[in-house]
Amino acid sequence: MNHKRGFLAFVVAFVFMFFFGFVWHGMLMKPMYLATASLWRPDADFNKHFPILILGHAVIAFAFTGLYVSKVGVNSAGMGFGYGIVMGIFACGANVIRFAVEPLTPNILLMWFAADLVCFAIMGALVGAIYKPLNAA
Amino acid sequence: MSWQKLFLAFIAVWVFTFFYEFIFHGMIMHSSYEQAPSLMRPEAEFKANFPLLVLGQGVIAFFFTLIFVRGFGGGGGVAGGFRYGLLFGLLLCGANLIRYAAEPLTGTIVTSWCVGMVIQFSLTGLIVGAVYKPGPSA
Repeated sequence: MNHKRGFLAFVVAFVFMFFFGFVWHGMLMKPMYLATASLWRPDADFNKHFPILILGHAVIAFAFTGLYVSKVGVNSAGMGFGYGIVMGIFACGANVIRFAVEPLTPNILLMWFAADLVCFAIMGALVGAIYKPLNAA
Repeated sequence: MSWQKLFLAFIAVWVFTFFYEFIFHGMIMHSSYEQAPSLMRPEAEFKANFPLLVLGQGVIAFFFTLIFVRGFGGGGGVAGGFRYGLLFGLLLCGANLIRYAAEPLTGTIVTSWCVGMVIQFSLTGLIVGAVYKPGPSA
């Protein structure tokens, strides 16, 4: 296992995921969240919990990269893209369960599907392009 | 790749996921959810959406199994499955932390979810590793 490349891939995945989430959820989906305000923390409360949001992104980026490195482990953007798509579909399954339990709107659910597929596919491509196993490094 | 073993592992994971979540969310966590009723669908609405919940569990079970089988090329075994499940549980724990930052959940709920998911997916990984073993037909 190439720890140096793995760490670099993790940092890139984390930064990408954070900015993707900021644009998608913080800007693109903002009107949808405002229309369902009772489901979300008020702005001040959300800002207070912001470090936890960053920690959550770091944990996901770490596990996502760790799974790629240990289970796929090849230097290929295409392979990483495919891995990301599969992970994105997995995340869609979790979103469907959440929709069944929580009073979300179908529009929010569909936007989350798109977000998870696009975000994980690009993250996977980035991780696949950056990670190189030791014998290929 | 043995499709027969993949299918068997997928079914085992789906059944386990359904019963684990029924016990964890439907029984153990039930009183915690009653403290946050605005975040949950009313009982009748939840029942109407129940098929979606089962479908979501099916999607999770299938892709969890598929990534293990393709990633390990049929190897890994029980120990490999456990480590794989642990990382998946961690990934979902990260998603729960993000959810906690955005939604007015209680600290007890999010902590229980994180612990519950790490246990759930570690066990799920054990099951996949035990059922999908490399062999002559793999």
